[in-house]
Amino acid sequence: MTRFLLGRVVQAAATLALLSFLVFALIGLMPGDPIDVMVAGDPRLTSEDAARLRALYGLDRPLVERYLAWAGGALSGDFGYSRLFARPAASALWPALLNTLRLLSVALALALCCGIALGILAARRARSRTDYAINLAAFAGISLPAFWLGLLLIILFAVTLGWLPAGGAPPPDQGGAAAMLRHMLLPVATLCVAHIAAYARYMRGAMLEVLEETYIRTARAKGCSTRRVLLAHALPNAAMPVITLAALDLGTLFSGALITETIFAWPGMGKLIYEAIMGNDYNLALLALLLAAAVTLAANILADIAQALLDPRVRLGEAAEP
Amino acid sequence: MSAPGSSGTAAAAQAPARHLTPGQRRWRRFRAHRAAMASAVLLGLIALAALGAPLAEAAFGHDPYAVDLFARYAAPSAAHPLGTDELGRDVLLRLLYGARVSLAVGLAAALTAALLGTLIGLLAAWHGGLIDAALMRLADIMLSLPLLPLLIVLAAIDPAKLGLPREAAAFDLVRIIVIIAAFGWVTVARLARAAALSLIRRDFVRAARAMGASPAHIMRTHLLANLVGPVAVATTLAVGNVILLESVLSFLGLGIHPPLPSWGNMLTNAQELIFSAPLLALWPGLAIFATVIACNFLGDGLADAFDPRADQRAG
Amino acid sequence: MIRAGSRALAALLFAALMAGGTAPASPARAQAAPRETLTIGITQFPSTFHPAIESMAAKSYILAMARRPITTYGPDWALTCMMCVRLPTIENGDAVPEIAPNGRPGVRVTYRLPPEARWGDGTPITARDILFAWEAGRHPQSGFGPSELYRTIHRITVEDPRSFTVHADKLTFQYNALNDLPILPEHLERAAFEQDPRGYRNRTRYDTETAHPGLWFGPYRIASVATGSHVVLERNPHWWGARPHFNRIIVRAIENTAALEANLLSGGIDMIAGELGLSLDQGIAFEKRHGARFRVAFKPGLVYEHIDLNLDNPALQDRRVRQALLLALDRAQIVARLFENRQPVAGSFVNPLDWVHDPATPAWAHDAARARALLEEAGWRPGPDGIRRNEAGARLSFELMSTAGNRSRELVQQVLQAQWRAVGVEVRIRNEPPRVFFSETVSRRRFQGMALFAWLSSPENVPRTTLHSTQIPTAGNNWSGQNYTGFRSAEMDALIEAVEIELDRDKRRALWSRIQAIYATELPVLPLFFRADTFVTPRWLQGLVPTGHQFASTLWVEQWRVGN
Repeated sequence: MTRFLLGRVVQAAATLALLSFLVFALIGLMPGDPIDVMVAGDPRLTSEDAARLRALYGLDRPLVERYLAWAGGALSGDFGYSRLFARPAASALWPALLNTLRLLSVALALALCCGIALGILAARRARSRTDYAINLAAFAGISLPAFWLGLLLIILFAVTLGWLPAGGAPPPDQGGAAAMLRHMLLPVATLCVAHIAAYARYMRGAMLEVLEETYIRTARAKGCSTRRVLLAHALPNAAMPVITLAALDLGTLFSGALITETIFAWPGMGKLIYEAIMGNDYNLALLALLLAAAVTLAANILADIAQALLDPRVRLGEAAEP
Repeated sequence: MSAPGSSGTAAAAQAPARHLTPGQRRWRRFRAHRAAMASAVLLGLIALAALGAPLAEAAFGHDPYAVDLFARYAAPSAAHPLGTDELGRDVLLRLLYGARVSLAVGLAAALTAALLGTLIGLLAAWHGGLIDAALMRLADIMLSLPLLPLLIVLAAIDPAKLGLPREAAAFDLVRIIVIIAAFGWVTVARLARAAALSLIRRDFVRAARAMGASPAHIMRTHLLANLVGPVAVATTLAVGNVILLESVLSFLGLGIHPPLPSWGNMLTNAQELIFSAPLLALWPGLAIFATVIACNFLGDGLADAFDPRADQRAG
Repeated sequence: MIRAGSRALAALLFAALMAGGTAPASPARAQAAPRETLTIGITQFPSTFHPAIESMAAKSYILAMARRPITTYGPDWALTCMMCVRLPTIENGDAVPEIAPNGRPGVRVTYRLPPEARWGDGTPITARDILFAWEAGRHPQSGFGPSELYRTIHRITVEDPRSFTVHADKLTFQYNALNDLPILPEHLERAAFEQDPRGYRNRTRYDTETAHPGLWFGPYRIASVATGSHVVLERNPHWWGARPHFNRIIVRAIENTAALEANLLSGGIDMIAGELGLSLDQGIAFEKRHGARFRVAFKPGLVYEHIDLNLDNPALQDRRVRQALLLALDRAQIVARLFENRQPVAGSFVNPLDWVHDPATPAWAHDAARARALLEEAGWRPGPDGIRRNEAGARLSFELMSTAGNRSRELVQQVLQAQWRAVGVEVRIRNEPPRVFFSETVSRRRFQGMALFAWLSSPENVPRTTLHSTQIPTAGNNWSGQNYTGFRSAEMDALIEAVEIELDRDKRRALWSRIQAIYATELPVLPLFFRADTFVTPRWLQGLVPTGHQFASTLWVEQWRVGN
């Protein structure tokens, strides 16, 4: 177990190191450099100004050299300054990360609850009208372009009905938790529709599979009520893979957050990553991307451990061979 | 997206029918999945419509690129069944031409990913050992990366810095296909590897290997046949996902650039005008939605059809 | 099942859209009776808050409420004092021509700061703050943007705590304009700057402690910043000017303009800034639907949309071809159809609102027949595919490049393409992301034929960098200058030199007329139009005057009032 964990952690670290170089190189391949971005925004900047600024920001040095300098700093905990926000990259990132986690945790919890509930409902009434309806809704959910859905939700709930704010984090000292919740409702809904759908379908499948297993049949034969069989026996076994799936899904959620945050003007990581990449802010983009990847990698490892602890059939250390 | 025990909409297909070939049994199971059948028909129609875009253009007698400032935002009429857009171009024709681009991107990216994934999966399974471990770790890593931010970086790359000509008009298209395939191979690779491993362990393949049959031969005769099912399912689902992804990249300004219409850029373009001309956003949105949902249902139907457990039960 | 399902869904979506599109929203929005807060929506969030590091429209917009330039152009486009008691002129003796150390005619201009002026922490604003700003700006490692200003000013002398004299090594007619020299709080910033000029941009209080009251001296001061989301400004108790109406102003950044519009309709914001808001298209559509609830003002300004022609292109070297290209365009129709006449057609780079504008400048109204005749005369005759060819068989075909992602430009491009096609000129559209387009294609003159983009200028802007023959970017001069067309005219060079130093308005007007005449006859650039900004304000807000130039309307935020 320890050896396995150690292996995974080493692997995750290597992945992050590789990813950091890759991203650094890729941003280097983007058109122009940060100073070009500045020049495009200020026609008064002359080419001498550009040269001066380039030297000041160290952009006149070759890419590899800059990467090594960055990596050296990063290893000692110094992730450099964000060029865009003129602050240490970490401190620019922190509030955005909190905002995104707020959004993601609620979305993930909601998606899991709804997905599992719908999945059970569908499995219990397999091949009934309810099942078909849930199935259809699930398919619809995974087939919607997220930004389109977000916009439709804004138009319906914020503009036409006026029930909810159209976006943004709540303004300062206004309403506390209730206001926060109201502001989060639409982005969370947009973010989790596709995931509810996916989990519901997965849950239904897992449930049907479990229901066919011997011990459930035994329980049934012993005269347990259907409800009891479903909730006490089948659910824990079927829910586990769904929760594992959800952990593996964190990366996708981060991606979804980017779109949702843009549409709802939510000041989170997704938007920050996008701005940092587009604004050629190496330090911030790298840190944000690495963090997103690190969270996902950590979730993967945790999912593996959880699976191992809960399911004796899975032995750690052996790659999942069929 | 496919659930382990695939959807039960194919209910009637369980009756054993010993006299049927596997292919026929699969076809029966697929037909029983009504939603998948309907989806197949719908996708067929969309594909036909896309292919027939020039015919429609000739029939209506206008050009999807022709600007008519006197007919901006025209309501649907006989001449323009879906009205015109903000430059007076026919929305229906643009949708049809957009379908060509969107479907082409979806198919090309999904097929490239499938091909790449199959090759990598087979390579891993066949060689085993270090190569297998390395490739599968790579697959794990790819799965754990935040996809969209990386796609953004990739989509924003300047071809000139790679020594490629910046002028190539098709570059947008090729780039989007390549980067999606670069991330999409993972699912297929895992499927291919699993299928290959289960076969390789069977006696007849071991025997064939022992008798010195070439890997290519064994792969061709035994493996590929078993792979078709899962790979087809994954690819079908991937087509839908790619179309969604293209719309998202367009939304971020990194997809296919106008004037070449794609559903993604039509939708993105229209969302700015969503209050003044909501219909312009409705059509491409619906086109994307219908196509993606059809791909998903079709994939589900194929999964039923190729379900190995159903095969076992039947055989 | 699919059919029925998606039809029902389509109906639902459609209903939602139509309702959003037509029905006036009527949510109960409990707006506090006295309206003490104003929430403004803009489409961009500023990155740094330092007034002199990296220029950004969003930053200018917000900071204009919390600090002021020494001089600026008013909404009437005349130079006015903001942080000086009176505008120095040669006539009133505050400005005196002198010989600069480089031997050229220079000028010294004395400004007197308002006696009550003080920072938000109560510290008086003195000439030493100006001196510090200039010293920091001159330092090559401070990371301040354009350095020309700091070079032109070769010395600043402190006369007394409230007045200072600027010595410039150039005497231009704009000798008394000091729009871009920021006033920086010496008492808060000097230490950080002197300790490490190179690291100053990362350690400035403007970014580490943005809400420090001592950094601001406008009617408002920045009270809090939620990065990427909003900036809260509160009334500055130390402000010495007219008391602004609102207790607090919140500026929210919402990049997606559809979401911005939705926020306005749902009450999330009260108004949309014209400087960074809806596109003209959206504004026009918005006015039609919600003109009753909101006031929509369109202010054509100094954003000059035009097409630079690469004069190295053999076909474009012929003036007749350039004139024919412009004649072939029906700009009036484009403006009428696409922009409902909300933005004026440009005859040259000089805006009709500018006092130096000469109405007698050749206008080149749409005349396809004359365009064809000119092309024939220049030797371009229709080929079998309808595209003209010259004797040598070369097709009259150009590449029209612009910035990708700018919808309005992409629309215009496609119309232009169609109109040129009608006179036998083929134009291929190729767009690039803005930074490739500006940093490489345009500034290194790599566009083959045409480049469509905009210039942002100030009133009476001398076109030295864009039209003087020494300003053609080449590898030799390290790509400096903005004369991207490669235009060379000895007369134009002389006129530019002359107009810059001509202090007499009447004489200057004559020079300006000649400049416009040459520009509109030679046509190195095809003028299109002046872009209009869309200001969407609630009916109850009064006193907001759009400026039309790059100095934001928020410079007069203390005049904004609530009416009925």
